[in-house]
Amino acid sequence: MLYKGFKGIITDHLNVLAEERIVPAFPRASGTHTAAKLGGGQEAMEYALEGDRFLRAIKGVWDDHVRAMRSINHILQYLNRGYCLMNGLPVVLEVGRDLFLSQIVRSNKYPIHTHLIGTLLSLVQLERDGEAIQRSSIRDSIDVLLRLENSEAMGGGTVYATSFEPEFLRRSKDFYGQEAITMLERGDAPAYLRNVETRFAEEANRTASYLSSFTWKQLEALLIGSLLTPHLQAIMKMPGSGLAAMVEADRYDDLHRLYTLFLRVPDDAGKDALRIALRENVEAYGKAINDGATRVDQDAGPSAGGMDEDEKPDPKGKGKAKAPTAAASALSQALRWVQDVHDLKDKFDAILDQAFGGDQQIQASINEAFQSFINANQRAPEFLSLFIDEHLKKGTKAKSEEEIDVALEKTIVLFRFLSDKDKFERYYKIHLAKRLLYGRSASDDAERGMVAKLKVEMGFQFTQKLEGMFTDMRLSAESINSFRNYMSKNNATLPFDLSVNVLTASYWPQPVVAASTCTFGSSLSQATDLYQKYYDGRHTGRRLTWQANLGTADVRVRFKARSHDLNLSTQALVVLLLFEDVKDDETLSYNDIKSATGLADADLQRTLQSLACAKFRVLTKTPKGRDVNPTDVFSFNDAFTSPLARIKIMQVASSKVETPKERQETQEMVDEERRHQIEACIVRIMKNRKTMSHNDLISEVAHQLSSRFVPSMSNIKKRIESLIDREYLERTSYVGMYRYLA
Amino acid sequence: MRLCGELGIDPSSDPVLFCLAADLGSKVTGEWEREPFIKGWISIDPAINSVASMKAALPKLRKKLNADPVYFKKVYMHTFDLCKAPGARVLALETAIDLWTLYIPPALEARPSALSHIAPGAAPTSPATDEAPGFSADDLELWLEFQKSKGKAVSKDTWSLLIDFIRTIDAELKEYDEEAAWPSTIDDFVEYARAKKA
Repeated sequence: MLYKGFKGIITDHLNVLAEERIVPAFPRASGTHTAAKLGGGQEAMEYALEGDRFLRAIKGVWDDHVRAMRSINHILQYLNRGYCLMNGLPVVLEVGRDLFLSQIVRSNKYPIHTHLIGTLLSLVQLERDGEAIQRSSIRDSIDVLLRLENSEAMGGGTVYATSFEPEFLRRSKDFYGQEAITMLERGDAPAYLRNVETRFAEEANRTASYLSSFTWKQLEALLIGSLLTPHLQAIMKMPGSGLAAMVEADRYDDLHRLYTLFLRVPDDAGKDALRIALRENVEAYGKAINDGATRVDQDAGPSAGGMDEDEKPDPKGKGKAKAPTAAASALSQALRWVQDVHDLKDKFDAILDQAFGGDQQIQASINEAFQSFINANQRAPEFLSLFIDEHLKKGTKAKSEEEIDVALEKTIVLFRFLSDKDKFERYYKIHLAKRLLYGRSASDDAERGMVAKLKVEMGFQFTQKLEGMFTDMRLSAESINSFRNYMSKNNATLPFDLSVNVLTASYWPQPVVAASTCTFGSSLSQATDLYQKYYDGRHTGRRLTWQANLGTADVRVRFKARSHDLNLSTQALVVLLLFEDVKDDETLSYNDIKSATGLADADLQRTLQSLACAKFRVLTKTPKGRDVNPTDVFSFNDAFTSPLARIKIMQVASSKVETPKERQETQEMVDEERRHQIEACIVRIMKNRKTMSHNDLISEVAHQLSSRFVPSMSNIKKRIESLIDREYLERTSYVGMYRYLA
Repeated sequence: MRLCGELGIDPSSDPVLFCLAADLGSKVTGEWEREPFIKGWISIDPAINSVASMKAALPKLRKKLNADPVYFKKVYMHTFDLCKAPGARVLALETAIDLWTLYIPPALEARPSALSHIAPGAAPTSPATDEAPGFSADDLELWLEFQKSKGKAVSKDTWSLLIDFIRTIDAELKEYDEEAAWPSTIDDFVEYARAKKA
């Protein structure tokens, strides 16, 4: 009786309260769940106030109710213990809570439930739209909802979890889905990202301060799902403000924001998308650099190649005048390419560091991109070597040691990306040989430092020959001293000072030590013979070959006006000495010179060009012209004048940058070398394994050679076949298995 | 040559001569050593004791050549050594083309065929089946045409692997695996043939 009466009284009381205190406080617009567009400004403020009042009313009723229930509970202690427990009925406090739920929150008479949830959502919406609201009242109402539990029959759980949260999440999803679209339409990626970041912070703050913290996980997933996941590409590809623009302008903050936000996307999808996009971005930059290099290359190509033969139909002189500039621009092109790549690397290193926190996966992607575009430039090995040459060479721009060191260090980084390392080695050897032999090296320490760096990268084998070259130079210098002692001991004298560099043929690059014939005049032969005798006395079983194309000579020449000290190549000296016995008015024909010196046509033409057609013309050529033809006739130019006492007659050198023809030759040599290396590698592996399957063998070979170059599968295959034909290997009866034949 | 006449073999168009060469251990065309000659005939049929009985054994050999993959490969490979110039590693292209024209068409037509199709990866010596070879006479034409266009002498490797290729390949050349251990000549041929067929 008492129990029922108590329930009835409470119910009636709550109904009265609902009618008197809550219903009048219903806000105007929250009657429906949609409550869609709340006008801004004044109206919103009013609404916020109304909502607040409403929530306060609810809270007030709840507080009163709780207080009342507590008192009743005290009074009805006995009822609780004696009746409820015995009959398995809910105790007073529980009854009170249930009644509040059924009579107020889920009232049948008044649409309180709709108004309550609607108001809460609308207030959240107002706050999202930037209006100020009273958080405390929301907090209080949410607390009420969290306290109220559904009956067992309804599946339990708090009213918050069943009535409010799903609706809240649904609304949030709609809202942010819509917001993503509107923001994207504005086409400003950084702003979009800033907004996303702010939203994350706001929502985190909201759940922490007046919602249940359980909601955050779902809300976060929802934010990511609405604002980020579907729009990754749209954000990065946004024209004018997407990833490319951020990278271009080095906007570290924006990039960092992008990175951290994208990291939130599950399954690494965001990071992967970023990595792919970055890769494409780097490759686009790289392609631009490569295109720049090849474009000028094409401009320079024909005229540089014209030095050899194509130039003849051109109007006289024009081609020649252009050639040096073309060669120079080809060189500067090579240097610029390397510099551009350096700059690009610096740029992305900075971005990686500043914006992406040195993320290793991203670094790997960037590196891959570098690797791919650097190797897309066929001439990268040559360019890199030229760049190093430029820095180690004497007489270029004055650079401090640190600067050089930094530049070289960076070049090593690029070198790591290079797949054709053997090709680089070839160029490096040629350039190093020229520096060493022509005394153009700026500093021995720097040279050795560079070789040491290469050694660290590539190991002993790679630099063995380079070091051999240094050793040759050192030994030669020592042996010249002992040669002088030898001369004084034997009372031998020479009309001039002789200095000999003895090069070990296998260390030095082929084009440098390629056999060139040259018949020395009598005075020179005297010296070479003496050295030969000295050398044979010290070493047995070694053969000396004299390379006139590599040496230089200082000689004083008397002209009509005055004497000049000429510094010229040994070949030029040999030619010049022929004119010693020729009377002033007499001439030597091209063929006379050729038979007297025994020089090859290409060498002789170059030498004569440097003597008769270049800046200092100590010989006169008839007919005049820039090219030397076999029908030309030469005489000593006694009338030569120059303000300089010392003159350096430069060999009209083939330009430093390779002409297309030379490049092709280099490529052929490299290919040849690679064929040997692949075969050697196959034999090495097979000797060890005896039998091996085709695929294993191919991948093992590719793996072992990868530090030097990347062999193509078909190349390896051809080498295997060649070895089969030569019976080093045979096929076994198993398909695709090879056996080594000792 | 007299032997050929007595046995009724036309040396220019009958591959059975090569069967004899392989079975009787002839290392140079037309030269037969006594001992392997006699042993060889005995191994063909112990009852052979006259030219007439030799002649009678030939149809069996011809049939065996076209139907037995192992025997076919043996004779075929022996032919390579027999027909190349002394000391050479390769077979002159013209000779190779003549030999292919001699060997392959009859074997392709025979049922069971020494060149019948086998699954990729199966041993090339798998027994013959009645299944038609994936490789057709037209494909052979393409192959010969391709070889002529390259104009290079044929290596032993290519010579040998052609037979394995014929046995494993399907009519559309779809199953060909460029990654596998085929000689690059055959890689090139597949590319050539695919282009022609397309």
